[in-house]
Amino acid sequence: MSSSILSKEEFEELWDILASGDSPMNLRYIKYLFSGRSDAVQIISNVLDTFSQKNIPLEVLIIQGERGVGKTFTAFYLMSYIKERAFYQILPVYISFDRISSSLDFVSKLFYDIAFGLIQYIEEESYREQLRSIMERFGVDITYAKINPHEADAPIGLLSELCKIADDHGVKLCIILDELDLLADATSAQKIYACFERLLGFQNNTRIPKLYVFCATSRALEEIENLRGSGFISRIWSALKNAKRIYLSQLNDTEKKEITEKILEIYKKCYGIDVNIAFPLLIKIIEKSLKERYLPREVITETIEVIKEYNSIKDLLERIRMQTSSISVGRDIDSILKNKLLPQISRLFPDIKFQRLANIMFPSVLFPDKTRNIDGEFVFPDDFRLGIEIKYSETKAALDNIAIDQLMSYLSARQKENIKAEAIFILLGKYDRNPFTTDQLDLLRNYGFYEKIHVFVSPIGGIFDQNLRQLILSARIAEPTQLSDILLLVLRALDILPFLRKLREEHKVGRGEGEEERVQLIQPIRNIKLRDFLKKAKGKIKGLGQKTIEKLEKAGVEYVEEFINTDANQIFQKLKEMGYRSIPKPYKIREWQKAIQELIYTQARLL
Amino acid sequence: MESFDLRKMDIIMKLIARIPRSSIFTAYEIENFPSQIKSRVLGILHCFRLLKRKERFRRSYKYEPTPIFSKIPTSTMGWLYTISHAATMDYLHSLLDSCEKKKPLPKPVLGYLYYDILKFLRSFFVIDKNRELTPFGRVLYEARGIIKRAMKGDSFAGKTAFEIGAALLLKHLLIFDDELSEDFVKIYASALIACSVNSSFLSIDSLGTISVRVEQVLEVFEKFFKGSGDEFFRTIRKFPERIFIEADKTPGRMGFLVISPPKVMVRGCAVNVK
Repeated sequence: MSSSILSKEEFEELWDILASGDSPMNLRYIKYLFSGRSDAVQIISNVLDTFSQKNIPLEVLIIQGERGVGKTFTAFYLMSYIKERAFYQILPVYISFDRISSSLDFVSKLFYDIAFGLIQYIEEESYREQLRSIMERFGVDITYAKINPHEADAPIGLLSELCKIADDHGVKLCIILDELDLLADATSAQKIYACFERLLGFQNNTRIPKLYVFCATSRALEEIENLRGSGFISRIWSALKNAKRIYLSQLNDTEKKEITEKILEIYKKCYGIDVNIAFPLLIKIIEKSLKERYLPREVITETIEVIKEYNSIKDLLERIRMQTSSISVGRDIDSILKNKLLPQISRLFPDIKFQRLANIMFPSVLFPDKTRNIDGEFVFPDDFRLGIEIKYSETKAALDNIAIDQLMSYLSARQKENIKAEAIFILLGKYDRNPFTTDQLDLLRNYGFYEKIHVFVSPIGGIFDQNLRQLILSARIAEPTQLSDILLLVLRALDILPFLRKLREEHKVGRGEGEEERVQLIQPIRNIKLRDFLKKAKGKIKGLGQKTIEKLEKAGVEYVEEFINTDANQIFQKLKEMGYRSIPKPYKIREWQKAIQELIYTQARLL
Repeated sequence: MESFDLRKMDIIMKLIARIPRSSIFTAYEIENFPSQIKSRVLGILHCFRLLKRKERFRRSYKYEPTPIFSKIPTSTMGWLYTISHAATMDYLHSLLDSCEKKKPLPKPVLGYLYYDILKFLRSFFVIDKNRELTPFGRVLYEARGIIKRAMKGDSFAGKTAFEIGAALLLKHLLIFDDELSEDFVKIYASALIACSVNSSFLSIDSLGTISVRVEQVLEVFEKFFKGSGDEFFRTIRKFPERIFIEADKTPGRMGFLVISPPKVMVRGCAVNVK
């Protein structure tokens, strides 16, 4: 595999594409990110080997898997695999049904890809001449739109002439049909049926060996199976039945690790930073963040998120590393975390607030004549509280009874106030994995707090510990905007983030009152143009950049209100009718709508 | 990699329950038997004789069990065990072979009763209406090859989806291997039969991963293994790395059960199983 390096710009572009949830269309990127999937790779290479060597007129390969599992990516891998091996003499044609507007468009795409792909295999001038004339007759120098519907059958004739030339040169075709999922949707299914009609004509009129690659979910395959008695599917049914199939399943830990390593490798090449040396904790953080992510897209975006967070504060970390030795850390860490970092939580989760409780005393549970306090608490939208006590120890230690008493006192005080609450210990430094003794556990059980107290410990290992200190201390010299990135990394390192997400999910505000309040708040902002709103809004929305906004404006979605209230599918259809080649998918649009609503909500609250 | 060893065969002999040594059933009765008994009958098809009374054949038969088939289990897995074994025997295998290669079906041994046999195989979804092998049929068809190779002394792992499936069934059924949970085999077999009901080859990938609608699998699981919905979902949760449910886009539909078999290593040994 070639070792050429992505440029920094390309890398950043790749980041943006991946973060926006689209599959990268640039084949160059594929080899940097495709990893694992050894079974799929094996089957792909077997199929291509036999197809290129033997004289098989018709073969089918099915790449199956759920949404987001990497079918398109695998198909791209297949394309780059073919392109790297010119001796196969196979022409790959990639057709994604979500980018095809009509059956005519489909034929055009087929024609263009074959025609331009063929040029590299043909050297004789006479054939080139012939090719040129066919292309002219098809109207290559004219745009797609100019082929009139009544000429619709002509392209098949031209296509078969084209394929004859290809066949004469021993070139074979590999037609990749992606996004067959749309078959499950009644409106788009019609379009695909129409394309299938054309494919049937194409299949019947040409003799060139063809390898069809279907990228489909189980649902789409079920639909295809229902079509077995008719048209194109019935024509290729026996090949389809005996097709090589590969089910892409969710990633396992080794595959996740491979992908992460690849991304870190790219990062190293582009930015000259080897995270393994500079900040090993980051690897641990990524590992923890990926624990519940199984789809490649999620894994890649999550990894890149973490790296971006790191990237924004990497200079701070370097500066702090120089200074660390001269600082007495113990108290510092404790106070920085509770005074500077934790209050930033509302930047990460707008609906969670941090309250300092250091000055509020609760009557002690274990020692009746004393009072206790804790560091602070998170307040959730439904008034659920999460008490927090931070401890730091330089030596290996367990928690003492007083510490436990702190949280117990807090919890029992909240209980008396009739407020639901749980509590966490954040243990930094060299604390034990299991900081409770059996007696203490019994104590917690007896008082009924066993389920309510959670412990989060920093990752084991001297270097990780040092890194975590570095990370927290860097908040001292950080710009206010960087604080939330630092907090996010700290929460990830301590594994608190998934816990918080879960709690947040459980303690959302009920729809009733909250919704009304929100509507009122939004009113003044609604009549602002989308473009202006996004300029003013502090948070950026990934993927919703200048170009996309332009497209949206042209499609008649200009104001914030319109954008939020129009159904995502409708916007998608509108954009499609405008004839754009790359259109954000409906789920993406829905995400943007949600993000804008959240933005409006937070902005309004700030006002 | 899990493995199985034909030498453990004698363990089975001790484990398997007894069945009646001889009886007479009419073809009609066989059709309506509960699946466990039906399978026992199927298992001994290779050795049954037509009854001759007054120089005429009757539509009933008598069977004499061979040593293996006299010890067929009566558990819910019994029929699966038997049908897999039967598929390795001469007559049934030649029947499956002819279906696979679309040759005329072999008749002589069975005489006119063979229509009953076909009906019978259809009721297990081994062949479809067009007398073509279903995915389940293909797996059974591969079973003989696996046993033959194992008896030659080869050690190997299944390559095609159907070989993997056959190795999986045989591994469990032949030696009652604990490594391979019976629950897993039940779900796998249910999924296999569920896609055989429609003879849907598109539901199995080249490595034996099956994806088929959850409700169809559940139906088979209830019918053939007498299991309940609770048990079914409990079992699925027990193997998160091998079984999961792929959601359907349409809200309210259960989606697809995806089950991928482990790669089973068949350790051969040159012993005559009989």
